[in-house]
Amino acid sequence: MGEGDGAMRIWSIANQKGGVGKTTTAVTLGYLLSAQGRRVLLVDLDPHGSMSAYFGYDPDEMDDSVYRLFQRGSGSAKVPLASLLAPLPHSRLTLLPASTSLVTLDRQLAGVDGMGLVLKRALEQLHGKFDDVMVDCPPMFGILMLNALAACEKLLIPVQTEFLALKGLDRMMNSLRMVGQSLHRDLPYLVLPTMFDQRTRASMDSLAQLRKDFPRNIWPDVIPVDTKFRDASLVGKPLPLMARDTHGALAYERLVDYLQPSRMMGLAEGSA
Amino acid sequence: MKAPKPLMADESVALSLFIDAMFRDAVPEKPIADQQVLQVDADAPLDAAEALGEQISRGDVVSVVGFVIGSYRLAVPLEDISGIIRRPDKLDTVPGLPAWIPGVARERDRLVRVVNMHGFFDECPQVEASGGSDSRILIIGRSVDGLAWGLACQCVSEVVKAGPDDLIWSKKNSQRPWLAATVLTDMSLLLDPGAMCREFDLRAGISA
Repeated sequence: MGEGDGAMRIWSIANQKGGVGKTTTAVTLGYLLSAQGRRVLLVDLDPHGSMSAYFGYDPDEMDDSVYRLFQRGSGSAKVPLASLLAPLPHSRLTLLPASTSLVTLDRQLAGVDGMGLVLKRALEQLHGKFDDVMVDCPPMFGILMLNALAACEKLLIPVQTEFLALKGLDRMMNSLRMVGQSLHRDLPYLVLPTMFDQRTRASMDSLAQLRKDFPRNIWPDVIPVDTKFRDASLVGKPLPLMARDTHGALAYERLVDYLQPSRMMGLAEGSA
Repeated sequence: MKAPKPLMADESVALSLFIDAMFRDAVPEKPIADQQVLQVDADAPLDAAEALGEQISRGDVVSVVGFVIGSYRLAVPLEDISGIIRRPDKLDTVPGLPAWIPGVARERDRLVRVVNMHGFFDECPQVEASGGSDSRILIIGRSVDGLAWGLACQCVSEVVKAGPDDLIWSKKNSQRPWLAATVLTDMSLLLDPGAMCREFDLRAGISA
């Protein structure tokens, strides 16, 4: 996965349950890909703005954010997406920040046709400028998540290895199936077991259940519980940059290796 | 007796209808309200990044010098560079300075306080120490105590012309005022030399 070796790849990181590691996954994968020489855009679609805040941007004070794409409708040439991007202090890594006002979109746009395709059309402006786009989704099903699913070619679903998270995954898979029907295309997805703690029975049982339920669409490895993730977020740096040899950072390095295009081709699509 | 007509559609039907509508190929103009924008003091002076941004937004093209420090590609406006010198094998060390200032270099009659940017970013402080024959020091400005500030780098690349479409400007109230923009052509980080020098002074505890 070297620099500029093909078309722009768009990844969405989604789960209808919160606190499963979506933002951590987007930030860490994005950083690791950029460290390989790829030009990476991080898109924050979560009204909470966790990813924006991670890098020091306050979602309460952003006047240039992804919100503007929806404000102008289609994200056509009238809104140059590049004007909304925010630089990050990491080479080849750029952010499209969120703003708190995104929380109003579902109410404002619920009756407006075509609003699920805004991000997809906007990102078309950036072909040739970035190699990878990582879209961090909000933890609820609505216009923003629909935009992420319509825009992406590959979906990563982080799932905390605990019982309640498995229930949330059922909802996510149902949503994914319905979106696939509406778009008339299937979406390759990969379940990522996260926050795995091998000392607990709950983690072991949940992981076994995930592997049983998604035999073809689960990453065979795990992202372990690692308090260093929290430390990294406190200083606003991706974990591999702060502490490369930690369990969490090494796990994401293995994930990047796994996400080679040839491996993702073999994934089942749309539903489990 | 006939059951009353339900107010809401079946859940799965409602969801399907919603999703289909969202993906329907019809988009109106300006469908939603302005979000609350920042209150900006109109009389406040522009910082260097804004001034540079205004210059470029008028259609001007600026020349920037790119350079490499470890995994970073950085750039500074050509007009802000007051010198580029070969990095000496040994810097004069100064006690009491943070680890990201490995020492001082001499350039003719001035002293240049050299910054290890990786150390400044809290990473890999050994990177510049092993710089090769292409190692240079870019002098970007002056400290409040009169010494110059220089950035140690592994190599300096060619001058790049950047226009309005080539730059992603930092947002107002950024926590990193020294980061002016990203240069899209090579994804380098364009530094604001003035703000960078102020940040160095602040973090090194240097006062006039």
